[in-house]
Amino acid sequence: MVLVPDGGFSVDLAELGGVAGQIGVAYDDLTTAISQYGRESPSAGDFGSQVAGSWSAFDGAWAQELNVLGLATTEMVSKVHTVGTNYAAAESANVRDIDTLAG
Amino acid sequence: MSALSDLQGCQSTIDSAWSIVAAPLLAATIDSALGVPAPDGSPAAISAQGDAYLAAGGTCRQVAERLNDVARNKLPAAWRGGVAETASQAVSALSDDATTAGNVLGQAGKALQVWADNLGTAQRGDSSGRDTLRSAKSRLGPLGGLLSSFIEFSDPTDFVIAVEEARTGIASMVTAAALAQNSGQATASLLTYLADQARAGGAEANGMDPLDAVVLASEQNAASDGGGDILTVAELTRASELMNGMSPAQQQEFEKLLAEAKSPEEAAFLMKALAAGNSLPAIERFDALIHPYGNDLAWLSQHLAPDLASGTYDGVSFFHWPGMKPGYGYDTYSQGGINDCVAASTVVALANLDPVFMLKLTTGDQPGVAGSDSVSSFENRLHLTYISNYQTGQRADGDPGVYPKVDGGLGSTGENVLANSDLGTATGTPYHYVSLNGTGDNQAALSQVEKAVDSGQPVPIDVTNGNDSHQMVIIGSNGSELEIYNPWGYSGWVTNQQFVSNQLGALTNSQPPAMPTAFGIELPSS
Repeated sequence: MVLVPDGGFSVDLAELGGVAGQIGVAYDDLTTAISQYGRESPSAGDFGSQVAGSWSAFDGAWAQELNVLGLATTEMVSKVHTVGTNYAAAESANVRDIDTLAG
Repeated sequence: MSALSDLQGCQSTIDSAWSIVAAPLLAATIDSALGVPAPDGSPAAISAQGDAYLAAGGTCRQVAERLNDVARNKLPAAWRGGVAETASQAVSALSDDATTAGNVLGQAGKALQVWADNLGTAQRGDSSGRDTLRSAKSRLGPLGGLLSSFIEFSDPTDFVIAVEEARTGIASMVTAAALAQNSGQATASLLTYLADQARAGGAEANGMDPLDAVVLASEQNAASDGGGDILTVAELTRASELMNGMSPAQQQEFEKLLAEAKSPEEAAFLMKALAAGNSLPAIERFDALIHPYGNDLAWLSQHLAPDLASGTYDGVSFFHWPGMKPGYGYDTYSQGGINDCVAASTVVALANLDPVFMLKLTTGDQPGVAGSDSVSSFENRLHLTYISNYQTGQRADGDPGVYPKVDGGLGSTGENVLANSDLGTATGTPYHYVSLNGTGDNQAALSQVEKAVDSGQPVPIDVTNGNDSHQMVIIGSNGSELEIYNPWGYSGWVTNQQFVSNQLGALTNSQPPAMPTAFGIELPSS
């Protein structure tokens, strides 16, 4: 499934590099959050028999969610890089074509 | 039996001990109370985990802010065009998920800290109560009171003091157990609710691309339609599982539909249609009908998702029925004057699950044809569907006839048939009837009800006032309250405690006498 296309036009390459960098910083922060999330290692029994099952389900679900969010964020960084690379290549090709015409 | 109810039983016995003749019973009851397990768990570990969640939540909110800035400002400044807008939507979805993570972890962190405090208080109270009970027991003599009704105490005041200490000790233990039980239940309910806010994780686990999973999970109905997520976690997960079960060719066809969707919202409704059990050809026909409106989020919300929060369709919450006097009518989704509450609640719950079904109700599968989606056309289709479901239920009940000849409502057989044919099919889960006979049954059912509705499986509920009975359907939960749709055309919230203690009258008091008591539910089997 491709809901987020890999290409695009009308790009300011310098700004786009900054965008990829910002998303990359967000990813770094997210890895900090993931570390904070997992810094304790309690057992389910520590939460009491009434709460143990709910806590286990919660903790597992959100560990997975943060992990997926991290993967999705890196995927976005990669897509933005790809757009920049594709556009830069297209721009170079255009310049060569123009040079040829001028020559 | 819970620790609390066991201790309350002991308390009742101890409080009634007033004569020295009761000394053996007093001693035995003290032993019983001391045998009840103390509130278990480690407040220090719980508190530390709460701190960890709070810290992680705070960092997630920073992530959300940074990504939101990228989506709203930096990306549009760097990249323009249709594809760039889609990319911005994707970054917004990342930001939304990080925001949700921040809020959820914040709530969970605070809840764990409260639970740690309350558990610590409960454990101290329990411990103190046990010490006092042991002291009381020691005053009953070396044989623990076994013979003290036959022999004299060396000091007669010892028995009086023992009784006072026993009463104090058991009261402390009961208070502690009540605090642990109530706080533990509240914490468990909240964590169950918050676990289901982790929306993208389940879809990704079923093979969906992580970024697609986050984008689809973030899609919501338009605010004008009361908002709310288009896809529940369970729907997203079920759709992902069903996609995995398709042949490669079918999978490719469905992915093509998603890829060609005009908006993530259109794609989300396609996933919802799949989750509701529709076949690929049916979804392709559905998409052909909605695709022209794929960018019109208000249109998608109005025609594909009932607004049960406000009970409106196309901005109309009260419909003047043809043939009635001016000013007379019913709420838009109301069952009206027919005793088809079971059918009406089940049909609306199905419409909430299945956008293909809802499109048929709102447009007759003819969107764009003048008048096809008018309020009166919608009302007509809705009520015909209520009645046809009602008649199906009546036949299952073995009634001597069907509506309009017979209009006595449905019995438990007809109710269960409709729950399974409508909701069971749309959720992929069979339903079974559970009788409720008092607060104990309600308490036992509460966690199953919460689990079901948190998973996107509505739970029909029967209520009564002793004379009349009615069916409504539980459609939501927030950890401490349940949202219940009444087929008189509106929804309301009740606290978990009101559900447990049969105080549901506020939901039906618009037509007195109200019906406060739950006597049965249709529960999904998993």
